[in-house]
Amino acid sequence: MLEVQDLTKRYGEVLALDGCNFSVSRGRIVGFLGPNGAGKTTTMRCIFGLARPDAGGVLWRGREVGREERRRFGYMPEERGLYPRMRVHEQLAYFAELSGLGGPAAAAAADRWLERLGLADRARSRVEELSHGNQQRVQLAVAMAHGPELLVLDEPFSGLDPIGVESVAGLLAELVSEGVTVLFSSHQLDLVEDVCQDVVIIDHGRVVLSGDVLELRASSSRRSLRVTVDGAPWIPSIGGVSVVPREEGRPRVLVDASTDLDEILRLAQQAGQVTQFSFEPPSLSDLFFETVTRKGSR
Amino acid sequence: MRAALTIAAKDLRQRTRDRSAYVIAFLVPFGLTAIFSLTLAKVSDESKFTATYTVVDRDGGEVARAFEGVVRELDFVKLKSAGTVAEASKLAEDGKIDAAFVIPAGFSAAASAGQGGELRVITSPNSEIGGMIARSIAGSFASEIDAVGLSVQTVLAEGGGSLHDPTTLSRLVERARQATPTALLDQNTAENRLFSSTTFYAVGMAVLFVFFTVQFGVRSLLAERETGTLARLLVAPMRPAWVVAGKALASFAVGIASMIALVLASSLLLGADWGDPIGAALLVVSAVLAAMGITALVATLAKTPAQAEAYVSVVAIVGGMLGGTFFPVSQGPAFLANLSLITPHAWLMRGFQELAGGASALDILPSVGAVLAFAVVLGGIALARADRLAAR
Amino acid sequence: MSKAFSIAGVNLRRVFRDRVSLFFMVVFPFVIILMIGAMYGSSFEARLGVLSRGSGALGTDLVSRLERHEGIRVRAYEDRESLTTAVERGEVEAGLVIPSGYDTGVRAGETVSLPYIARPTGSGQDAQLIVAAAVDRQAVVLRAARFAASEGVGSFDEALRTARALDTAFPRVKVRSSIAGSSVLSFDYGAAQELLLFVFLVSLAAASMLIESRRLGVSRRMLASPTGAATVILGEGLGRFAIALFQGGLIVAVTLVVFGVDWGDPLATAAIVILFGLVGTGAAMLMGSTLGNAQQAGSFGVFFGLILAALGGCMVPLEIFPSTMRTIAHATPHAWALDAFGEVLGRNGTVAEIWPQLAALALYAAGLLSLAAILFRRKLTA
Repeated sequence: MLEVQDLTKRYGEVLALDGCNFSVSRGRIVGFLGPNGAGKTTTMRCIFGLARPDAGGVLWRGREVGREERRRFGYMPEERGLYPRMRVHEQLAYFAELSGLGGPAAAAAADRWLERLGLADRARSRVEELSHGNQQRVQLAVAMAHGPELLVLDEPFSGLDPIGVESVAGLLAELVSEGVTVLFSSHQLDLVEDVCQDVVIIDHGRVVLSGDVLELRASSSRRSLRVTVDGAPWIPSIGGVSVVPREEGRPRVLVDASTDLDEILRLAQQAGQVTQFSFEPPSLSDLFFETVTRKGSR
Repeated sequence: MRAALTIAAKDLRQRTRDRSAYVIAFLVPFGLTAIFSLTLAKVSDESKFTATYTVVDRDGGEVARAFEGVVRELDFVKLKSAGTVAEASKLAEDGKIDAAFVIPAGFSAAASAGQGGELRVITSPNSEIGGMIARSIAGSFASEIDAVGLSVQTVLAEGGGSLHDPTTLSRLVERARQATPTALLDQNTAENRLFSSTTFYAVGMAVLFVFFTVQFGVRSLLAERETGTLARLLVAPMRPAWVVAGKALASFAVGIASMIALVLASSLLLGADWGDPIGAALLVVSAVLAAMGITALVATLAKTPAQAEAYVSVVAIVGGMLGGTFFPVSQGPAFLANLSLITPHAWLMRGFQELAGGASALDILPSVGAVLAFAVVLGGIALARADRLAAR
Repeated sequence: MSKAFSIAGVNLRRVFRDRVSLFFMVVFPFVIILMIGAMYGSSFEARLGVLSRGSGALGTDLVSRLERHEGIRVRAYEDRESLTTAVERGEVEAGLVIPSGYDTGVRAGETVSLPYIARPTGSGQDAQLIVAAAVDRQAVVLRAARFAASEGVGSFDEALRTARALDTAFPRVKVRSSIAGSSVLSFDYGAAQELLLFVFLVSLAAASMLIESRRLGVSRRMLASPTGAATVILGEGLGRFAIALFQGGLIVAVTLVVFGVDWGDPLATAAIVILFGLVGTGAAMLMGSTLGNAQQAGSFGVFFGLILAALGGCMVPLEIFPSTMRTIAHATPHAWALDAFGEVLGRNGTVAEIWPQLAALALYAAGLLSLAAILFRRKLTA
């Protein structure tokens, strides 16, 4: 549905996008993930013509994206893009009108969205007076008010507490169930692992991994293993073990998917009382690090 | 087009809710005008000026007493007595009096005999103007004595030696004194009344502050970039130029409203004279446009709203100073007056002052044209640089 | 104290890194230098526009007397409207109209009035002394001739010839003028007035910088570091103070050297400028500690800068204020600084003579800075 083709963008010395390539299918929540500075925001800006790529392009249903196509898009910029001192309803109606709805239709859309978000009683509040979570919901609603088919969100989860993440994720799931396609970016891979159906992982301006989250994890040749013996982390002394370096306190290791589980469990029981034993597909960040190190070592 | 109107309407709505907008667009310039015209214009009014002088008469003669009488008669002068020159000098030095006149011994005799003499004026270091007026009083009194003396001598020279009898001579001197002066400087001209200080301050402050008022448009554009709302506007299905147009429209409306409020308030409450309404309207519109052009250009140099703020205020103050909104720069030397014409302020001041002087809308078209040229050229450069706002 | 200096250093670097504001930093004083130098420099000569059409031989005589006079340059105009416009536009400081009936009027024994066109304030008022002196000088001779004619000893023209001849040797009454307690013959506050107005306005600009630091949370971080509120205020102010001082010093130095503007005793002038700059910085810090956003600071800065300058005598000299207003004026630091300049310029004053004014300025600076520190702490810890 949305195809990003070979986007290349250079800012002076810095190569922000280096042939970025991926596509987004209809009705999916796609996580556009990668570390800070990987090129996520630049890609999104290219989708909306806010940045002009040096090479490559963006297609929507096979057609080059222009002003007409963007009518069907909704966008939430990284800076959130709300007027802090403007009233909630006014804000929704304003952006809806600018996005192509007529005045009355825009006001009606604003009403509908406030109702849906449970914010009808706060319609005349200023945005800055709302709680963080509610502000977040209004930010999303502003991008949605004109009824777009594609929603592009730049870092919608950053700075949110777990409840906030849950509430935004719930809203996104609802939208997707109504047929909307969502592309959102995040640098916190683990935080959004459960939110997205598909992922596109980008690093240094290139897509390093993409596809269905569950499939990607399952098809990995590695598994995440965590064993606690006598209340302390325990690491099996077998071949092919790599310690995940990021979790010093409670070590977790990656082992080959073909590892004999019974064998490990037996070794652990010999060492003492086993209080925890988990063996599961690797996390998105595990996959990311694995891909990046593999590419780096090549 | 409708999008631009929507944006402008929203900006105006937000602006009308912002209390500090009223302060900047109206209260500050009007307050300054009111204070300036109520204090400065009042004190500059000569009828209110008072000076304290003292006359040290070491002569005691008739002419000396006549001089003291002349000084006493001046309605703006308060006379203080001092016995000695030292005492008077001390009073002047301490700023207790503005000036002391010293009439040396033998002054009357010499003056009556047409033999010249010397009047001393000791002024206080604190009294620039009081001292100047004292010098001019002494100067005209000296001229008066000279005139009588020369009159008598001329008659004597023309009439030969036959008038040397003392009584005849003293009658002649008396008649010479009574003679009417030949010429007087008249400062109370119609033109001078037109250079009303209130009008000057009202015009000056309106011209100075229109730059602060109008800059909110570009400032809000930069602010929208910071909060990301600009990105939302730019992804909306419209030309980016409409965003700029909407902002410009709102700035224009606010600028015009503020100027009109200032014109009305200063003429109704303070008695400022803005002259021909059509001419004033032309100047107001061109002032707002020029201010928009300049602030837009300056803002394209800035990265943050705070920076834009700082730059615009420097440009507004420098332009205001050079353009003569604080001090009448046109009172300075020619090259400065000419230099000031590189600012739109100077052209606006010139236009408004000509209007106050009774000029018609047609007469001030050159000023309007010059101001509009600033708007077009500077605004054009700003627009050419405007892509930077959107695309990165 | 060293912390204050390092805060000041960072602030200065912030300014220097911004090339646009660096440009303004130089252009701003340059404009003031031109203004002060041109208006109060030693080479300034007032220009008088004269309209003398049809004023006859006596009118022509008056014009040539004006032309010969020192300190004034005469420019001829053909009609009253263009003369008025020239005064309006500042092409001349003042205009003198010698009416077309001047010659006949004087001969007929009338008192002819000579309209003098000048703004109520401005250098046209100073030129008036010179014009009045020239008019008086001619009047002496004309009165003598007219008197002789009226005494019947000869015709006006004969008497005029005689009076002119006599006038060259006639012992005149002279006016000798001096300033009490000073060897200075005359002085002009104008340059000092503009300097003070400018230094204060520039210093107030520091307010928006403090607000910016506050907004970005930098200030809170500094207070947490732990650095006292007074040190933060001092540091934030010091950088801006250095800039204001540099600009003020530049103005004084350049106008002195290039244009020959008289600034009196250098040490005393330096003391006034430094202390006054500190007062301005204190006021800026006070504004920066209390106001909410940079936009307010910008226009409020101009507002207070102008109001205080006007009330303090920087626009219209203090001496023409009524006495109650003169007392009110001394609530502003400007009035104290101007008094100090009066001593320095009008009486060759040195630091020893102006210490009361300097003490007043120092008190202002100390008071404003400590008030700013207290409010700053309250604002950030509230």
